[in-house]
Amino acid sequence: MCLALPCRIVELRAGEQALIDVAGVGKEISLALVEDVAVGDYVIVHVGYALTRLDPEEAEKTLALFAELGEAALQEATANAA
Amino acid sequence: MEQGVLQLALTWNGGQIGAAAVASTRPATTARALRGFSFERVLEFIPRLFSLCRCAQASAAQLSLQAARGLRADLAATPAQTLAVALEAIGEHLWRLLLDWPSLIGEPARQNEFLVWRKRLLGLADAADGRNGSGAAAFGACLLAWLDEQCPPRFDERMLAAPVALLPRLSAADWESHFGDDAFAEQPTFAGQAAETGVLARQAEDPEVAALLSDGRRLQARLQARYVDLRGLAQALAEPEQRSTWIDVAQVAERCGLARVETARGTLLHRVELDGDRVARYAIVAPTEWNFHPQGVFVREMTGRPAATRAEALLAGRRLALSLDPCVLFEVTVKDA
Repeated sequence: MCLALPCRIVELRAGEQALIDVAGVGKEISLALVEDVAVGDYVIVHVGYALTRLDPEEAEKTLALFAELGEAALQEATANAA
Repeated sequence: MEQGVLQLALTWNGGQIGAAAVASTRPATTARALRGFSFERVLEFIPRLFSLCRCAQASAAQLSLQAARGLRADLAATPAQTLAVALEAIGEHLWRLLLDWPSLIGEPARQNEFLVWRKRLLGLADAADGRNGSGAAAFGACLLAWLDEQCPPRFDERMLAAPVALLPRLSAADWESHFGDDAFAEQPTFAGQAAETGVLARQAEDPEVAALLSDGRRLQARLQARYVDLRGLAQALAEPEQRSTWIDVAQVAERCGLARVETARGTLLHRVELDGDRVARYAIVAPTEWNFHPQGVFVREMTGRPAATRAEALLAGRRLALSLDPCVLFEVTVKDA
């Protein structure tokens, strides 16, 4: 299943691309489907596209839920975003 | 092996694809992790957990939990829930048709068109409280007009092997007898056999889809079925009654609820058992687990398919995988026999 791990924008790049942090690993994604994204924002990623922008508070809540669900769920979500 | 990717491995013997295998690096343990949580917490978790089919997942969770709690004998999805699920499915079909299929037929992705549709869909979804019927209906009419000008890419290949059965549409109550243990959610079977879910299973009776099926052109039938499905969804935006078949829920035992929600990718099932107000067991069966079962439709339709070159085998694998619409990234590899 497609789990929605919030990933932090680390760097904005040319061509509507950005570098995100997925559990400590950098990955380049497309920002074509979202607007007004800045470094430090969180996004939900699917197959290389940022789907939705989350404000940091919202993202922290979701990250806390994954943590509460346990290591297995967090790993699964990280694998989906990677 | 890259994590989080559905790995589809083909073995090519110089003239045909001799073998196909599916490996997933996804541990699929999230539903099991819901054990022990209160139903209120689960309702908080589910809408945040999923990136695709989020509305479908949230509706399935809400309804299965309501059924398990035995709140109402006549429990059914609300028009707002069916509208949200329909809008979501439309968005996911358009993603495939405008962003993914073009690259497999050598054309550029139609990103700008997709963005226009997506913006309108998000606007409707934000306002979707069940009362915005006219906005949704107008959108549906617009989508139907656009669909009149579209046609699926054309593939003439015919399938030689006997096909995997199409998953029938059962009521939530009827699904209960087909549920198995935890392994069922990861590798589901129907009557002991792998089965195909998704647009083809849902639209196999459409005359054009049926004609393609009887001609053995299953890839084309699946593509045609996606357009038929999208058309049906566009029409259903104006007709809450028509949407009502997409979601079904039942209390299947004491403190146990089961919900079936149709998504762009196929049938999604949630089954929950409560112990008091806490989850004793939670199972989610997602469409991808049916279609990419180790003996499922991908493996069956690839095995024995003629392919004159390695590149042809690779492209055939990508096309079939995309037609089956997995909910995660996939990677097709070809090795020599």
